[in-house]
Amino acid sequence: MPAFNEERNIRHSIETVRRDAPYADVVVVDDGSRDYTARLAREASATVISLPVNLGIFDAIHTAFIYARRMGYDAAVQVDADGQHQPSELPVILGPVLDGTADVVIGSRYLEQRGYKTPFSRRMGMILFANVTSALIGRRVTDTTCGFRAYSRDAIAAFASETGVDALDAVGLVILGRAGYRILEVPATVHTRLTGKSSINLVRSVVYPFVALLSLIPVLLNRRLVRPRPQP
Amino acid sequence: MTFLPYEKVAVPVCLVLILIILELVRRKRLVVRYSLVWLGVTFAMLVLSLWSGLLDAIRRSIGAVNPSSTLFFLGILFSLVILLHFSIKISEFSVQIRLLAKEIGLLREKVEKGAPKPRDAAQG
Repeated sequence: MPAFNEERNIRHSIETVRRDAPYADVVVVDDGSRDYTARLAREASATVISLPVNLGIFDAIHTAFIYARRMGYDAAVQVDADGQHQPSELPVILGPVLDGTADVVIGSRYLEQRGYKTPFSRRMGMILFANVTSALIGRRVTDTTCGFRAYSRDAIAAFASETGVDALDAVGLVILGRAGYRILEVPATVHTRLTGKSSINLVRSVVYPFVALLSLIPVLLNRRLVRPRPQP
Repeated sequence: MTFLPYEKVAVPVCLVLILIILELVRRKRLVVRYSLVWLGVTFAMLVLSLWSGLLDAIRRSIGAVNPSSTLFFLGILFSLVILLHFSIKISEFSVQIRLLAKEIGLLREKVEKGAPKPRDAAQG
């Protein structure tokens, strides 16, 4: 659970995960928050990894992958700290990972219309990038930037070993998809935020798809970046 | 048309620059590894300033009129090389620093899990 200045939502988010998935270890990556995010998360008895400086969401997630790999988890789920996701849907996205049919499961906001409204400024770039990603990995993906995902042990290791990749969530999908990892999308319900502002502002949401597209270039041109999925 | 005596300016400038770079290395203000690109570029400028035949050949090949403007052009080119070199280094450092920051966060979690909790730990 990556978190940056989420003191108003973090407790609720952790408690919901605890309630709906009591079997899970909750790990919060506090991305250099300047408020009480880390303290509140610790009080909610989550494991808290506090980064000394704000690195951005992709590096926060990357930190969690390194942690998950070192702890030897069989599966990991990424959930936003702002309470937008429904941990009750956890079995839905975790299922395909646990029964070994998928390496990455994305809880998509767009696979089924469940009332999530995307701001117009983001929609264009997202559609463009989703289409590019789909074409590159040969599988229909509708939501490349969703923060509600499940990963298998192999996917955790693969993401953890990717360093210096911008826009890890979307570009990482292409890297893994082309390396033979099985990517699956399931419909998910995503609420609008409880309180506070998203870390993604207008400029960033417009620029982001282009950063992501540019970040694809080294992935496509450099074969060494893409390690094939280990065969069982 | 009279040409500016560019060598009279360019040669001393290059020599002084080389001396400054060497002095910075001696005082350990500049690491040898990063002085190399500077020394290489400055040395190339020095060669061009002294070897007017080569400079003239380049001048004709790029269609410039004035040897000193050719030298300026090459100077800008070299500056771009150095700037690109810096961008590459910054990218390297950025990746390294980010990895280190993550490692610090992971280690801190490990340490704090084992250590008794300080009473006034606001943010850990």
